Amino acid sequence: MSILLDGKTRVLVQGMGAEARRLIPTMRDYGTNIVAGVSPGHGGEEVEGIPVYSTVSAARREHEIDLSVLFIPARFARDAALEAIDGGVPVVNVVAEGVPHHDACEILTRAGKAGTLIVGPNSQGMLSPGKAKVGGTGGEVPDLMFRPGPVGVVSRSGGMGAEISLALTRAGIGQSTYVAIGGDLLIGAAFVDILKLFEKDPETKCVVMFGEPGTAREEQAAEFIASGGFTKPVVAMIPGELLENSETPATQSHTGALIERGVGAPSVKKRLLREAGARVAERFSEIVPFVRDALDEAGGT
Amino acid sequence: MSRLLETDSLDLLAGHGVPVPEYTAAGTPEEAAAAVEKMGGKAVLKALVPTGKRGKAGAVKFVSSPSEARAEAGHILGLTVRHFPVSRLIVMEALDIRREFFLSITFDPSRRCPLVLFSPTGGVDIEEIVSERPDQLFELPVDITRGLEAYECVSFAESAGLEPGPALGCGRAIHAAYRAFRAADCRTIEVNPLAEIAGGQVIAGSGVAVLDEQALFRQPDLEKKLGEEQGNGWRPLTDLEQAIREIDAINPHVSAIRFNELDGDIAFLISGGGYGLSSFEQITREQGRPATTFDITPGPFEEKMYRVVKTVYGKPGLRGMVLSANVSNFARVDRRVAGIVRALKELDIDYERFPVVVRYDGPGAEEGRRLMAEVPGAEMYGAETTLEDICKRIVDRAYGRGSAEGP
Repeated sequence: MSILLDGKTRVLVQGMGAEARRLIPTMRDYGTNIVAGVSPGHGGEEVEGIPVYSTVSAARREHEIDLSVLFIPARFARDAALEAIDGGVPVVNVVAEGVPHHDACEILTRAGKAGTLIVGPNSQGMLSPGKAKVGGTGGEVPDLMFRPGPVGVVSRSGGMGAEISLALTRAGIGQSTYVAIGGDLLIGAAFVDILKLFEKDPETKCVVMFGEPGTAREEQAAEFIASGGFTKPVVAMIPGELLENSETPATQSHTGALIERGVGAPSVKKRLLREAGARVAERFSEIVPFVRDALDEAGGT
Repeated sequence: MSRLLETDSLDLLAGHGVPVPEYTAAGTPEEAAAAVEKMGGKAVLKALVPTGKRGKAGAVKFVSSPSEARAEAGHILGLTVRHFPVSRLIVMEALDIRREFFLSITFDPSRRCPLVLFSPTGGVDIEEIVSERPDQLFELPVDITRGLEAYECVSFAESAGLEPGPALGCGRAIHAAYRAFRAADCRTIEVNPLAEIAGGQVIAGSGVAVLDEQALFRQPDLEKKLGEEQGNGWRPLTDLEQAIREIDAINPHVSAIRFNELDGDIAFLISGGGYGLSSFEQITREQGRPATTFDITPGPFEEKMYRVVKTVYGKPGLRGMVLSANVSNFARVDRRVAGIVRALKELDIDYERFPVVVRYDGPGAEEGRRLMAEVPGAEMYGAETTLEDICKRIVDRAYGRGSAEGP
């Protein structure tokens, strides 16, 4: 199994422009079941052999949809996401980087009321190795980075989630699903939401989570683990402790990576995760051996 | 960060109905003295800089005559507040403050909503309230799709322990500040103190608005106010940072660059939000001293990478350069490397004295390696290595430690 996405997941693509034309072949070649696309004003056309509708509701009249991925520029992401939410799509992946925070807040509020799970914004996508992928992750070279296996990977950074998967793959350890939850201040699915899904997935034996400074998402994950909500071993890496007291901005492309009002210090996140029983890597090279330990603890690879 | 100056922040708040005192900007002691005279002889002078903690830097002064204003203005105009040299002041009407409150509106990433923070104990840093008087900090989460009604703000202020009179004034100010927060796409608004003055009126004693950089495309008037004074958010731009800004301006929306100059000696051109941070920390852990931070969004990198490498190489005192990014999904490695190679060829570097360590992989990696081979001496690695390997490698080479063998 896997979470959120497999070869049977019926995927809608919103925004059939240049980015979609580039990404659709790589997604489909990997096994993604793309059933329809939406492009306002282009209903009735076909792109890469996929039927295009002008609206989400028109697409839904002809197709069952499990997940929508938005290849929509940041400034238009709000409208497209709200259309997906109102159209009853259960999972929506917002890929765009740079979505205005007020727009993201509206998307997430409406999604919360409708029961829609938003992954993103500023998410590189998700990938269940050997089954399917949505978004940019894996790109043209998914087999370099990913192979099927027992490790769930969840990351605020798309690049680091891919690097961790690559290191595991090179060590012969595969992944169940990789989810890039996004680097922005306001995102939908957080670590706890993804841990809940990995808990229920029998194929996932342990989880690697990559966190960053800022927000309380890692702290909440630690609390969730400590309270028994997640029972599988966790390996975590959260950089930034050495820069906590520096005025140099730690990372500039992730709007969530700011320590504000004393919340979000990596030192605190790491301590809480350790206290909850997670293996916390200081260095990247510790991740693979920690995952091996975690898999031993979980009882078999 | 995109922090409006206090005059612009107060303009914004006033425009949405928050009561504000009389204020004006002054660039010389004479202008300050004239403004104070116009305000009746008493005023507050504050450095007009895009940063906080001005009081602690001695850049806030109460004056009670134009001549005192002239002297104090001359003093403040010579200060540097948290890296920002003071070139202008805000002259603000002196308020007869009876009581100070704290008001902030920001986003709560956990609840995913706007959050009004209010304290009946104002005039001190929010950090101080959080750590010393957490029971005096009151929170009002807002459903952004529904907004905030005035009566809710008033009853919120009452729930914070205020009597009906001040609760009405504070509630109205909160309501107006929330309108400004929404209308200007703010990340944060802070009014500290929000002050009750003689006569009972509640008025903003100060104001800060931090704008959302991701929404500036639809706030063109406010974007214009974020001038050069912003620097890179925490201090004014250095000459090198200014030069990189000019390179970025070739095409600001394609392969956008973020860059900071630091005091170190390793040119650090490793991009990616999480990947760059992890690498920066790893180099620091290895006792290396990064001289820059860098990020570039995917696109046709070649020209910008060429110019960045050439320009950064000119920074005095460098011991080496490291260039990398996480394994890319689509961004062409060869496009990036082509720009780097072009720069390195022109620079005529002695790689024994100035090591250059590169790690890229993804589409176009093979062609990228072939291109890099045209520059013997520069080291190129790929997915067979990790970020940790190349961080160790550049530190070893730059400071003459470790083995001659690469990772």
